[in-house]
Amino acid sequence: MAYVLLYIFSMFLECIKVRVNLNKENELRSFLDGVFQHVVEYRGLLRFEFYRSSLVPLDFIIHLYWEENNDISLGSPLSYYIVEGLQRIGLTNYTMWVEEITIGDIKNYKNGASVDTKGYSDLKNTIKKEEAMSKKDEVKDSPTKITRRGFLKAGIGAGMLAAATGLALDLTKKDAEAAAKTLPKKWDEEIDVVVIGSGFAGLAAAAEAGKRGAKAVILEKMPTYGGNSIINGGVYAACDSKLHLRQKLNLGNDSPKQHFDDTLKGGDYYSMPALVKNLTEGSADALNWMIEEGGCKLREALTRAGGHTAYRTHTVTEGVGRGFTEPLRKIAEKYGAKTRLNNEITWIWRKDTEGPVLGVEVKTPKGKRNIKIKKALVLASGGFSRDIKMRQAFNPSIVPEYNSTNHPGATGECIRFSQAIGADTLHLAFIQLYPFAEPESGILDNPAVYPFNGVGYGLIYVDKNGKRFVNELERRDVCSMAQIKLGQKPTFSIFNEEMVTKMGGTMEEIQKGIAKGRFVKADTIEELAQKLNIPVNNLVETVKKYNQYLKDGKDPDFNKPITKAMITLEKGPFYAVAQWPAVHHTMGGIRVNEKTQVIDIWGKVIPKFYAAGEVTGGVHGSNRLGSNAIPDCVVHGRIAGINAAQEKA
Amino acid sequence: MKKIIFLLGFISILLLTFIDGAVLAQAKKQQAKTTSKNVSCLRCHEQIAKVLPKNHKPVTGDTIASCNTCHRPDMSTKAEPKSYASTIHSGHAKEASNTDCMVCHTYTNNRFGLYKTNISFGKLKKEDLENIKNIFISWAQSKNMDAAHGKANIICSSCHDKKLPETGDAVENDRCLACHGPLDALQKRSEPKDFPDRNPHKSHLGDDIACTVCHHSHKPSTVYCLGCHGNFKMKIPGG
Repeated sequence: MAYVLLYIFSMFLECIKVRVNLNKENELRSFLDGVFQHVVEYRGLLRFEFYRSSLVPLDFIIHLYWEENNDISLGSPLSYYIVEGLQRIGLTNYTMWVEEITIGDIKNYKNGASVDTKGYSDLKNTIKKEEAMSKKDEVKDSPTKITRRGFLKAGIGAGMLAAATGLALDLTKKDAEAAAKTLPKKWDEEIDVVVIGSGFAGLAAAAEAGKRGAKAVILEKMPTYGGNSIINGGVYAACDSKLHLRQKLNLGNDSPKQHFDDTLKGGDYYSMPALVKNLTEGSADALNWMIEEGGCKLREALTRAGGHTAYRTHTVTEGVGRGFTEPLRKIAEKYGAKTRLNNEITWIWRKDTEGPVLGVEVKTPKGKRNIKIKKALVLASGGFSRDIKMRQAFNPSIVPEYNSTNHPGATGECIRFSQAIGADTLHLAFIQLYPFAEPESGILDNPAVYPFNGVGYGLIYVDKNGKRFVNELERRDVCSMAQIKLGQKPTFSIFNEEMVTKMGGTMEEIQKGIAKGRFVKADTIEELAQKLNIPVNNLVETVKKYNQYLKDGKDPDFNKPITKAMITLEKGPFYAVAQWPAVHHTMGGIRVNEKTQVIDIWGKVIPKFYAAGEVTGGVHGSNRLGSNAIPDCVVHGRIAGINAAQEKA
Repeated sequence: MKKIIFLLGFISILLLTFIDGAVLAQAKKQQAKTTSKNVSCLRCHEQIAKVLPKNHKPVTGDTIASCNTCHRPDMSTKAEPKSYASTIHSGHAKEASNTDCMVCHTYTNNRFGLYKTNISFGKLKKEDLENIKNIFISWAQSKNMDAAHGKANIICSSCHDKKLPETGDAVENDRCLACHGPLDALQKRSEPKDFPDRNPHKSHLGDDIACTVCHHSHKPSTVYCLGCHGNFKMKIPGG
């Protein structure tokens, strides 16, 4: 027994994590069995084991226990052999990849402390040495290839840099940048603050940076500005504003604290409280800022949306995110910020793991350009809902068949670039479905906002049998899953005319929606059921029962909290809109602190590197509450912009 | 009386024939002079008169210089049709394999000019010459938007102003709207009857989107809307 204990303290653990698709599991097992049969007497190898991860069923963990005095400066050739072998037998890329290789003192590893990173570079050096030997010519003239090849050798597709952090990240050696891409010899341009992305967060950051005298340039890869923000639903959660709508409309109490509690709870307490605090304490001020400086206009309505315990969701007059992006753009342009469309980031430059971010490589219509960053880089590139491979890599349940509400540019390459220079990420598996998207195309058009906005005023959801299936005031993840479990597409929201303006809608929008065939109008519930082709008796019964629940103040079916603001479905005309979940928001992303500084995998700030908006993780936890996105983006964008401008050039 | 009219007619036909013959004789003389320089139209066109527009005056000479005695090369950079430049290019660019710019144009010291004139179209790189030729071929006969403009006698400078566009340059909206505008009129024209909201020129992404987001001239246009609204039935007329 004592013998074993002794070993624990003088042993090195090497851990390889791989993720497999279900059908490749047996291949992995037989491969590893084969490997270990042959290497059982490997010098210095004390023990090995591989087992299925208890956290993620598709993850396999391979542990190699080494003698401390064993010479693993060779970069643990066994692990290298394993990952190379995995590639050789074709279990690479999205079938399988190495998630991380850590080598460290087992004591620290068990205590959960950060492991000794010496091993990374050793392994990497081995790869490099071999690289140099086998492909001398290639090394010189195409530095990117070294990295790619290095990654590929380790069984990782070029597109999955993200998963390769363990191999990619040690830049501590003198010749480190050669391991990634060679720093440009000369810069094409110098800019104070470079902002990546022209959505809410990017515009807010550029505006605040510009206001403080920094020359800010927004790089937008798409040919139009605004990303997902300009097509966003245009709803904004704030416990108050200079318009004091809640007080005016007599809709009860609210406070930043209550908003804070709702947000934490809505995200299952995965959120970083400091970031949530930024959001809930800054949202009213940010809204006022857009009203005062940008001329943003709000509708005279306030709604209570799923997961919120107060009427705090504001709707912009335009009824779409453009109503916020335009004011933000106006402010940003007022302070001299410039937007360059069709400018796509292809790399983020950093020399080593201690130093600051140096610049960015950009693909412009006129060719490649390297921009040196004088003050700071603000990453506001949004989420990855339209990146099907990345979606599945982190959350296999988000199958390709799902529609998405997002614009085509919502892909995750900037997250990978950030990871490649050491940035930490979190919560990447948390991906939200918007429960009420247009069923055919998955877009979040104007009518698709009604099911979200109407629930606080009594709107109900029914399935194709005319029955309710969920507490309508539930969070988005719950509403989405409730629909998917029905197995019958689509479901419908039912509301009446009285609710329309209260929930921030307009009759003009209703008319337009009817013309497009999105809203269905009927004078009676019977007629509505006929038009929707759902059993008349069922819907009549459902509505009758529901009306009674509102009067009783109690919903025994689904326990929806009934409020006084809710309206019974007694008086027509009635309206219905079809709905179905679509991939909407990626809660995970880059790890930042409360100053929006990007944090690296060792827990340190990456100097001159900020991130804000959907590209960051940790604000919304496992599930974002509806209407929390814009305040998150604007508040953190502003913080990033203010801090970026104060960096020394 | 009838006889007199007949006689007059006969005489005039005789006269015309005589003049025609003189012109032809002159042309043949010139041909002998210029073929050595390879700039003669007669290289390809046995009879120039055959390829001229109807009612065109008889032509003296057999090079572009003959044309330029009457037709002033249009050096205007306005967004407007330029029929002479357009006609002469569109005819020649259709014969893609035979097209040789250097029959009419000159290229000395990187300057791109016109035979027997002082006109210069500016400095060009050698590789640009081939690009321009290919674009002219597209402009003359492709299914892209450039060909639609070609038919309307809109030539390079009508869109690109005087400077040769560099890689990545895009035509500014104002240039398009000079002919297709003003914007509100364009919006009215393109408003779909069934779904007035789905007006491609009144996008919810704003009024100041670059025309070139959808409309590409020298390659097929793409409907940007379809990136999200996959179920919309939208096509861009004219390529």
